Amino acid sequence: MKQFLKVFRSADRNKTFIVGFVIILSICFTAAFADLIAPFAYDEIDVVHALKPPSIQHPLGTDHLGRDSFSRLVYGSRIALKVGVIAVVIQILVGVSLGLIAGFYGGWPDRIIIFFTDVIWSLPPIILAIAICTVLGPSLTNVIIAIAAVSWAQFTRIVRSKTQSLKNMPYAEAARAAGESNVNIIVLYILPNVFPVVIVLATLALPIAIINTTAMGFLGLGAQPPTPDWGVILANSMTYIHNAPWISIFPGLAIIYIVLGFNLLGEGLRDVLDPRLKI
Amino acid sequence: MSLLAQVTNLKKHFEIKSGLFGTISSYIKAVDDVSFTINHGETLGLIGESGSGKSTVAKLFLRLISPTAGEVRINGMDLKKADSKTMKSLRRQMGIVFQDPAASMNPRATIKWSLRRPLLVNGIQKSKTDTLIGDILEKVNLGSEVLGRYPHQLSGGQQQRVSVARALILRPELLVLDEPTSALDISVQAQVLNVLLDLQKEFNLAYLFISHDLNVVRYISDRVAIMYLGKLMEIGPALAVLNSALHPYSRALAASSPPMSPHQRRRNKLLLTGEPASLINLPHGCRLTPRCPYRKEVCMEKVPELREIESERWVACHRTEEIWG
Amino acid sequence: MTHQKSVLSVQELEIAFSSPAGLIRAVNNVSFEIYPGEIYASVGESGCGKSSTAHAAMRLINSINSPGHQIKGRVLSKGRDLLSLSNSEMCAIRGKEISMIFQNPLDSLNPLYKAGFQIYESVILDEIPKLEAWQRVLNLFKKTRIADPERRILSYPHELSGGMRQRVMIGMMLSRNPTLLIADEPTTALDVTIQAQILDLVLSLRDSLGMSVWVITHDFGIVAEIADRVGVMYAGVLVEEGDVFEIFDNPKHPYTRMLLESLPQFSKGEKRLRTIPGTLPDPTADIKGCRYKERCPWQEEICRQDTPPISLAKPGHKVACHLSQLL
Repeated sequence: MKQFLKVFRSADRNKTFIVGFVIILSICFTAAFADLIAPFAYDEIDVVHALKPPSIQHPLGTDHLGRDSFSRLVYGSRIALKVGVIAVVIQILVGVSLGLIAGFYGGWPDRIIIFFTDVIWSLPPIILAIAICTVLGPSLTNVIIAIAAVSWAQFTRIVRSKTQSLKNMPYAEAARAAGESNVNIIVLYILPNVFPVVIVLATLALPIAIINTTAMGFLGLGAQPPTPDWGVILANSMTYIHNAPWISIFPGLAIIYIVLGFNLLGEGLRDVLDPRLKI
Repeated sequence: MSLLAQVTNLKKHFEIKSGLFGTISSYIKAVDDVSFTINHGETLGLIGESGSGKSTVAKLFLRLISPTAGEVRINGMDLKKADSKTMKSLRRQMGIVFQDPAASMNPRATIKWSLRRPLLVNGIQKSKTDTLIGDILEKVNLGSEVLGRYPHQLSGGQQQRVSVARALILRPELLVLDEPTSALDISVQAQVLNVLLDLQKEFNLAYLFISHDLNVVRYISDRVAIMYLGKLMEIGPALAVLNSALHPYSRALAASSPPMSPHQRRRNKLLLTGEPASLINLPHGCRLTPRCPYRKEVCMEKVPELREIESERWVACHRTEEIWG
Repeated sequence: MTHQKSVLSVQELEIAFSSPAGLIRAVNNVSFEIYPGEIYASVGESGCGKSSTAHAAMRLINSINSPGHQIKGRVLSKGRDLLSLSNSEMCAIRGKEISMIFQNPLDSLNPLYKAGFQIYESVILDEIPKLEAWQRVLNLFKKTRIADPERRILSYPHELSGGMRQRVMIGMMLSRNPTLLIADEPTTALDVTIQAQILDLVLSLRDSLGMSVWVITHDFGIVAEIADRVGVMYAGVLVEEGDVFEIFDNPKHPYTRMLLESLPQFSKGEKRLRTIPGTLPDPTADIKGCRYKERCPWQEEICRQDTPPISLAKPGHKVACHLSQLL
């Protein structure tokens, strides 16, 4: 915690982290206080005022059913966060654990894990996700499960290779010589040093998860109407792009905003947590 | 001097797998039939160049890898037969210090954490750890300000002294040091060597000191063993082996070692020709044969055994008596 | 000796690097000469600036690997200041008049090309016919005492041992008969018996080719073995310089004396090694007076105030210390 606060004091060096943090914080804030921020409900239909350009009443215009774009965008932040974070967290939990076990123990555990990892890795993720969603039925939860299920392999591969090199480092051998159990060595010595790599990978995985959700939504396999998932809004707005371009621009910008935020946060977080960069 | 450690016929052969099915095609005989003893409170210097097997011996000693054959006994207890409880108590009696001081500590943990872990793992209560940590830091001439720092914030010499402190925190009887000063500056090396000597005297520690630097080994060792391509060539009292060696390889090492002063520039050095053989493709008979200026027929046919030439001096050469009379 | 024209003349060289912690003054007002046919050793511990001096002389410090660096002073060779030449002029000198070999030969050789070809690339720069060039390559392999040279010409670097790779490097660097060979920690990564062979090779090449060698090392043993003259560096300053026998028998600077006394040369129990108290001064600080003062047992008031002048203890023996006369 102390380290966390120190970060803000040395804002100069940790610009990346702070900018990313602020962006994500703003999105979290928006999600938490959506009820207060959004002037309308996200499903308030008002066909009379459909496809209206931005105005004082509707700052970002309305969509084809007269729903306020701004309110939908605000409520949509909840979904964006939910999808991105949960999917990637599952990927990390599964992928990193398997990678650590495979890399550290070698032998049969390694062979089994690497077999499954390679199989999953070689299947095209979108198609697999579609297949899973088709079987489980279209819903946001199932999309999250599908995305997590197809993308954990990237974590396993990287963590496994890093673990294999780290377990031969002198400090790991010294730990073994002092009598540390294998579990302790993995958790206390290897995991913290694998962490930076995982963070970097997570920042790549998050935007991809969000984009994949968009694809699912586009195909009708994800969030069902009237859920205001940004990707679904974007997909649905394509039809009206000539008459009402505002419907597509703002969700697009929102997606860019959250992806940028996570990227900067991740990069900054890796630097912040690295003791070597403390002078 | 009482016996602390005994290594008998130690072998470590690494398998090389090749081909479609991963069949074993050949072996790397990293350590091939090595035997020696270490007494309480003494330093055995182990000298060898790359490929000699000296680092593998260190790892075998601490059971970080298991031997292909042979045994290692600490205080009479055979490491191979030790159950996990005995192994734990044996591990308490030994410590290790590595060559690269920066890589010897968990880079994401403070020095205090790294020093505390061995204590906690061995059942010492957290409340008692602070005193023990403070004590050992004092012994290696470090102040308590290093506790809150991370390894990269310390200098090489400080890192190495922390490494020594960690190895000694459980008050072991034996310390294995694998090239502990090779990565350090000259003045820092002197500090670390002096600290090691002082600690040895105070705690009656035994050291297995592995190095390629003859001068460093001479400063700290009571006895010296010389390894080449997995085998022991010579073993005996430090001054005897280093200053008046009997084995051709030992003599070549001593002659090749850079001098202490320009006055000792050698004109007619006994330089070994060529390069060491590959560990996969070892020559028949004595391993030094291709490079040895004294080689004869017998050297290519039979592997020389370690023989006691004088009291406590062992040499593995067929022609020792012939060469030295 | 002092009247000979020098092969390399470093004059008032200053090198600084920028870093997040400030400006690191790596080399401070260093001046020395290297004469034809001699082996000059720059010796010191880490942070003394010896390697930076050599890299600067070869113009290997550029804005890509060291952004924000500053270099002042002159490095003269054959009447020209190397620091003021254009990049193409400097390229013509590197490998031809001045060559350099580094510590880790595996990193210095391109792993994708055969060893012989890499030397060939260098030889062919002299625009000689192909056949003659390959003949020269073979001769270089023989001259550097590589066993089985005809076969080794066709070997890739990873097929060669460390000692052989270093010989290939030496061969490459001598292929165009330079007047000066710079060797930066050339044997640190090699075993002792191989190191002895390489040092022997360098000596014999110096004798047969008449070139000068500038050795950069932290190992006094190498200095004792092959150097003719020695320059001792500390914290970016040349603190003492002289004939190798003089420096070892009669060191005048406190650092040199204390350092020589901390070399392991005794047997167990014979005598205790001397240690040098304290640590290197902060390289980013603007230091007043002598840079060694914090660690010097003979420190006086003048040491804290004025930069020590360079005086001659004997002809050819320079010392940068206020109290050199007294010690």
